[in-house]
Amino acid sequence: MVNKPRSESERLGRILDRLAEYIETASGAQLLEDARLEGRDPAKTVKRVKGLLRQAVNTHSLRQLKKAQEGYEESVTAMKSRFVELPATPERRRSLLEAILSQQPALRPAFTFQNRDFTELTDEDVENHLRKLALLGVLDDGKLADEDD
Amino acid sequence: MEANPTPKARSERIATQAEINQAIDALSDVEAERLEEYAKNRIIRIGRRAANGRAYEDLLQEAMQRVLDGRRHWYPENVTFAPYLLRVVESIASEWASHHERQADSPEYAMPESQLTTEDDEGNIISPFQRIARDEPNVEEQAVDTDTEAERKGLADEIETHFADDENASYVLMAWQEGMDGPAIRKNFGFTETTFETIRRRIKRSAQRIMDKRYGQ
Repeated sequence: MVNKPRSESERLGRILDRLAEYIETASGAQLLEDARLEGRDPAKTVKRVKGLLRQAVNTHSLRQLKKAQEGYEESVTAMKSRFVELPATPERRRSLLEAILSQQPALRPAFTFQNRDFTELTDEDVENHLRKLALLGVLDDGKLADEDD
Repeated sequence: MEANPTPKARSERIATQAEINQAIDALSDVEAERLEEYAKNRIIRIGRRAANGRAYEDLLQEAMQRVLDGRRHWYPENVTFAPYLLRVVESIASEWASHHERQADSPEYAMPESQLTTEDDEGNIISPFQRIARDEPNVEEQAVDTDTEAERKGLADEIETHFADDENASYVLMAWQEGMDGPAIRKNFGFTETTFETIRRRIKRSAQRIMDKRYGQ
């Protein structure tokens, strides 16, 4: 049944659709022969297409890397902003840690000082433990905040 | 009688990036040729305005990008890479065409004001914005469409003219434009499958040369 195209775009479109059908279904030998007859070198084509696809892979990898870096920077910023809430002096930080661990003894084994006396912890140890607790969200609990600050 | 074999279950395992990289490395001459020609064909098919400055290279890369970022999923146990990517290319081209159809007025497809500026009967310059302000019909859109139609007519005519002395190719081209498929053409014109294939190849090769010349690909 004759079905006239409604426009020049449709007229050309129909020709192109049939040519696309040919490109999709033609045998490999036919395609390569066509390429040579049309003046293309299949060896160059494969190199070009692989290059284009690899370029997309590289762009994607760079985007992923950038995203990961941004995520890392965001978490560092978030961590830093949390640490601002830590007590200002080593003594008060030590008291805060002590208070947390006595309120939540279950946390104690998670730290390495179970075989050490609490007083043996250095100020740096205390600060690091508090940072870990902050990351775990324990410091978000209002009861544990340094209310004197 | 043998029982029907149980159909193989379709895998839902999505390819890893390593598998995608391997597939790119393993792309054959034929697969690359098919992909590139197909992408070129689709870009011309959707037209200059819908392509919006994008070339076939962009189409191939967009397809790859969508596979990588998970907007498209390649299930390697179900289909090999090149035919799968070809379907993605087809689908994106079609998406670009329909996006353009829906958003023809969007700034994304806007042309520079200088190209849309016209003159009235007395030779006074009329900015497209004046017309918008006056809420008149968008003459520019019509002008652009006419231009696009003229360009596409030119290409279709050139392909037809090229085969003016080739009766069989002319029949096939005419039948394609009227929406006939291969079996209908063979039946109507009495072509054997081999004859039809030969004509189809002949048209493809010449049409490709014409398009390469026009679009510099």
